[in-house]
Amino acid sequence: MKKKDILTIATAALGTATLTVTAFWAGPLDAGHDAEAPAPLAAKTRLVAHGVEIGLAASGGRIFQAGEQPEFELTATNTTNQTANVSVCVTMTASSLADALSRTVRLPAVMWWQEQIVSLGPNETKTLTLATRTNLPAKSVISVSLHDLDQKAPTPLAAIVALSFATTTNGASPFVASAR
Amino acid sequence: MILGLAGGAGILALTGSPQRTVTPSGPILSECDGHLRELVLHYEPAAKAIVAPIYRDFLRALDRDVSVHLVCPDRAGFEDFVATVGQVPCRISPILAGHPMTAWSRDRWVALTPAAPGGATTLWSPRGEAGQEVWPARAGDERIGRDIAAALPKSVQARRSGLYFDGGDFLADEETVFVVPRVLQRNLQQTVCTREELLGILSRELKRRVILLDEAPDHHAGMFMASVGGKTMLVGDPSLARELISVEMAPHDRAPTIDFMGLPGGPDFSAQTQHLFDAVAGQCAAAGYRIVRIPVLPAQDRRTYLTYVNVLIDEQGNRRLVFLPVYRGAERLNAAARAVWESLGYEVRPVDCTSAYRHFGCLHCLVNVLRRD
Repeated sequence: MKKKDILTIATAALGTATLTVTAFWAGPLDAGHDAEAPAPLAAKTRLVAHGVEIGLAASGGRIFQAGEQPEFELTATNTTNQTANVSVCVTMTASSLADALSRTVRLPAVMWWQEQIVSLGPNETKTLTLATRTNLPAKSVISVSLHDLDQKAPTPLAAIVALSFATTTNGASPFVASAR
Repeated sequence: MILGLAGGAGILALTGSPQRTVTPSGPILSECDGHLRELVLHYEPAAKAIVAPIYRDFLRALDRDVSVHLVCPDRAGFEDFVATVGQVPCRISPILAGHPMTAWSRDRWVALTPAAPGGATTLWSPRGEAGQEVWPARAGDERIGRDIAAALPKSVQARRSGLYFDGGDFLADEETVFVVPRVLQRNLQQTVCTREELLGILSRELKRRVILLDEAPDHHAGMFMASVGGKTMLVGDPSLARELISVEMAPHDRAPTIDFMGLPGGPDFSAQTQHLFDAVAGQCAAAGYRIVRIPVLPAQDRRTYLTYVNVLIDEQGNRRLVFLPVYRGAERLNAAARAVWESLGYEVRPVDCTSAYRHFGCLHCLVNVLRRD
């Protein structure tokens, strides 16, 4: 084996070793172990019901502003190898941005809601577009939550906030709709 | 590449992946046992109108041996505090955060006592702050635990939880910590998969019996309940307030349910709200507590309260003191609440909290306790 080949192999090995150590060096973050600076949630927040994972995103990744009527994309993935039916309620609420001095955000007002039944074949994924036809208020924090309608528990325990963003009056400093 | 993978694995095996070491901590600090020694308050000049009157009353009522750490955005903020609040007998030392923040100290962290005598108090901070992506002050609040630890490295360490919560979501005594339902709502299918998983984490971290309230008013625990020692829980009761404000309003020939103390939408005496307060009493009784009821006046917005359990308790030998919120214009309610505390053997030190209640918080919400003897 030539010297040049050995150098090439050694370089590749060293690089791979470095990547291996780096990849597995950081301890895992889970809710039970504290870390000085936890990473943001790795996965988008999804509602899981009857083996179906349900997520929500702004339609086309849009940035919504005051006065607009937002549209959302509901994506449901059946993780089982059997057919599945889920009934989900999607609720959009608004809170005032003006409470910076207050201890808690005021109770959000429900602006729009829709019940959606999704039927999926084994391992099937469907995406549905939901049109709110509701004008967004200015200077508000908008939250969109998902709730499994088949849950017997009171609604708050089953609702997942899937999306939140803020609106401005003239488009200044808009916030990208981010899945939580 | 195979050599590299093998080499990397070998390095990891020899050195051990450096687990993020969790420094030991003791149980959550009790709200009602021990003498107050170190407190943490925030001062944000923008909130001066809310906090200054309260701080003036409270800090002048504190004993001289209490140390107060005042977290301010900057030196100018601390100087504004000194000019506004004036001379106080206790020791005040500034912690200059260097970033925006809110005035609400209580919700930023939970104090875990030292694991061993002479050790450090752990400030257990939530994973994130509600609204931090929108409000710079909320984003600044997220950093407060580390700011305090950096300023007091010998006696304080900071630790960030993987859970979402506010400090005010917990109410602890020497045996039990009560947790409001909102903590489960914020974490289920976000950071934990099941209720049991959440309870396990809280038990492990707080080192007390954990009771997760199934039903409660949607607010921080200190707005509707207070543990007063001796396995006794004080729980707010709107029906007691109703009788009192009827008398209050009668001379003005006005119906008691209209416009009392500027409560948004008026007082909330609905059966649904009464049930939530009664449910808390029931759950505490089921946990073995003696229940004493005290007037509370919630508003229709379910955020604004005239409450008399949002207190600071100080135990000094055989003496038990309570720093009790009072409100100008609600003198009958103030007197009735004072009578309840005095019947429990407490010496009452009133603190005028008129400037704060419309902002959904009160004395206990503004003051966090770092250490008790």
